Amino acid sequence: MHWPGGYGDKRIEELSRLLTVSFFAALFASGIRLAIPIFLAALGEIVTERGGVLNLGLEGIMLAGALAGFMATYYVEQSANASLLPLAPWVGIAAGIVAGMAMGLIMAVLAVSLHTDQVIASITLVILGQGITTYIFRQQFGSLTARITGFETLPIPLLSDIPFLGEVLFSHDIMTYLSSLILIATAYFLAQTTWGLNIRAVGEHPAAADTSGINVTVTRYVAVLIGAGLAGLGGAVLTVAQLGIFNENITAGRGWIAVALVIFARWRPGLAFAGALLFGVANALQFRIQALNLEVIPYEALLMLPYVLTILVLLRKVNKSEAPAALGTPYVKE
Amino acid sequence: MKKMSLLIVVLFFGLLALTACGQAAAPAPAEEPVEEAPATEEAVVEEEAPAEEAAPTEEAAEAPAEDAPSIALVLIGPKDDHSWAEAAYNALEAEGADGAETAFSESVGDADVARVMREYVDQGFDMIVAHSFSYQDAVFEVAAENPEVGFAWAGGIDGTSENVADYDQPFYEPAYLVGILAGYISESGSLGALYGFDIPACHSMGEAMLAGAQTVNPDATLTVTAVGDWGDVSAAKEAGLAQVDTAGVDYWIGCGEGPTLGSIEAAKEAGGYATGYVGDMAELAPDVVLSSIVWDMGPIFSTMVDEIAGGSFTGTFYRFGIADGALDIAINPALTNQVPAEALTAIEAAKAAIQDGSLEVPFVPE
Repeated sequence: MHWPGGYGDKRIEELSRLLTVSFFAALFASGIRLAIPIFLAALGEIVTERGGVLNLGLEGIMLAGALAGFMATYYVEQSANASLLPLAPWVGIAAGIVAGMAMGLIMAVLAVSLHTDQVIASITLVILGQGITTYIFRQQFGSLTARITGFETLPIPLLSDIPFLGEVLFSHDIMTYLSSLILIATAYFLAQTTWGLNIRAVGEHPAAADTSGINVTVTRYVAVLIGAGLAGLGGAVLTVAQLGIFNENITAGRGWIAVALVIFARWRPGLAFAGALLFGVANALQFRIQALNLEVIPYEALLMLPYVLTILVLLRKVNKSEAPAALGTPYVKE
Repeated sequence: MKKMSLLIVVLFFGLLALTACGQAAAPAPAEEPVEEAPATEEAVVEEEAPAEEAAPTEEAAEAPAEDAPSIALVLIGPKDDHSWAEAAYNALEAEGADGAETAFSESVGDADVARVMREYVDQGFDMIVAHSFSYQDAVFEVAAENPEVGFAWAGGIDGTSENVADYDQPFYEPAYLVGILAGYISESGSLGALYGFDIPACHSMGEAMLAGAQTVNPDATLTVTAVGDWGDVSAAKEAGLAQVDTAGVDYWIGCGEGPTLGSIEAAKEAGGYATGYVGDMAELAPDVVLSSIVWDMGPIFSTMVDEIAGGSFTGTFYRFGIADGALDIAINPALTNQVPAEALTAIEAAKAAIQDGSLEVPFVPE
């Protein structure tokens, strides 16, 4: 391995000692953890945008899901009933989805029923999400001491003993495993089911869909609600499965990254998954490069790495036909 | 149907306006502080003679010292953040307990702070403390308009004017004491620092911690990561875990809220100890927060108040560190059984040396 600038043998020796199987296993495992919340939100946005509605409000929706998930888990865990304890994180996950859908309902009413500008409507959703979660969190908890147990890591028996792959793929919390099922289910839903077909139809040509008997309004409501529910789930995974705490603006921009990912993934669930993974692994990698104390690359450049890499890899000339044709356009019956 | 739609839009934006005011760019209830200020003020005023409250500020400045000046405090975050804002709030409370008329505003965004300070000026406050570096422009603007009122801001860069004081925040001093503790406790000798960004205030903390640790364990090393965000707990936690994987870090210091909370979570998951940032955070994670850097702003506040009362306030740069009792290390009482007696002795010795001037903690800003 040749390093530019001529580094001493000692440093290379030290590096090669670090770059072991367990280093890469930990790297990919960390990347997956960082990817899951962003992936779920991006997957939801794909469903919404395939239905022709542009919902930029993921950041606010994720925050609502993160707080609802945290609070529901907290209150169930605090209730004296010990038999409810294993249920607590599941209640939290459900609450996160419901809170996301509630935010989605606001978006659907504004964008689908009232034909408001979708960019403006969804950005108000971000502000609403930030404001309302900050307010409720401070009302209910006031400070940072509240903690939840949430989901514990659940290594899958036997599979987690496989060298390398066991640590990378089978030593996560249950929501990470479920996320891969959600990917398959959503891809199948969009491609193979009548509802999926209807959603794509109203996103491409709502007037034609209407003529052929599809209720455009109802279908778009469903697309927005599914999308927001998944974004809420992404937020809840962050607090309930990964951190066990809530803090103001805990999502820290993940919703915006998810929005960008949808476009770079060209509205395809599989590509969004790959893009989120790439982003997560690149982020985990740059933290490790920083921790290696190489002092070769300025840390600011390393912080850019996940963004630059994801853009470069997913960058391609977008065919006009790839974007849903009616994206962002309200449907007004003639 | 049209009317119905219109109603919904109006209701929604009404709701939005309420919540939007409740948060702003920083999580800032812009509306709350304004309402809160008079409320707090009235509550305190009731205990005092009403005539005093109406006294014009200039007279107050010339008045004898026993008439405590009124102080208003503007905070960038919630007052009970276990950290930065709480330190200033506690000092304000202490002045209030001593009989001063006090008021405060929480979570005031940079765009709002000039308005909030002008309202305090209109209410006749003698002293306004703007407790954030980011309030710089606003505090000098409002201070220039109101030369009779004393201001202070959290610059830490000796940025003053005739009626604007600045106060230093040498958190690197107690970080040195944390380092001594880490030198005794860390099994790997590998210490980790997580910063939001690698700014001088943070950098000097990590380096001072390393210097402290090396007085005990000359082989101690420091691994530094800039998380790239001051509030992203999840990224900070993964950054902390990355330090475990690459360098075997088992003792952390954090600079900023997100990095500190993330280091606590990483310490919980990977095993190890974390350090509370500018406030006692033992309560947040009693098993891993072995010590905290604590900031007593009382000396700063009382000095300012005395100067205002005595008419000698000229906008100086207050430097209060360990030697002045403003900064210290607080060891988590639940974990004292983990701390060897010699570590406590060494910390006390270093503190005494700092106090008598024989030890100067190295300041390494970059």
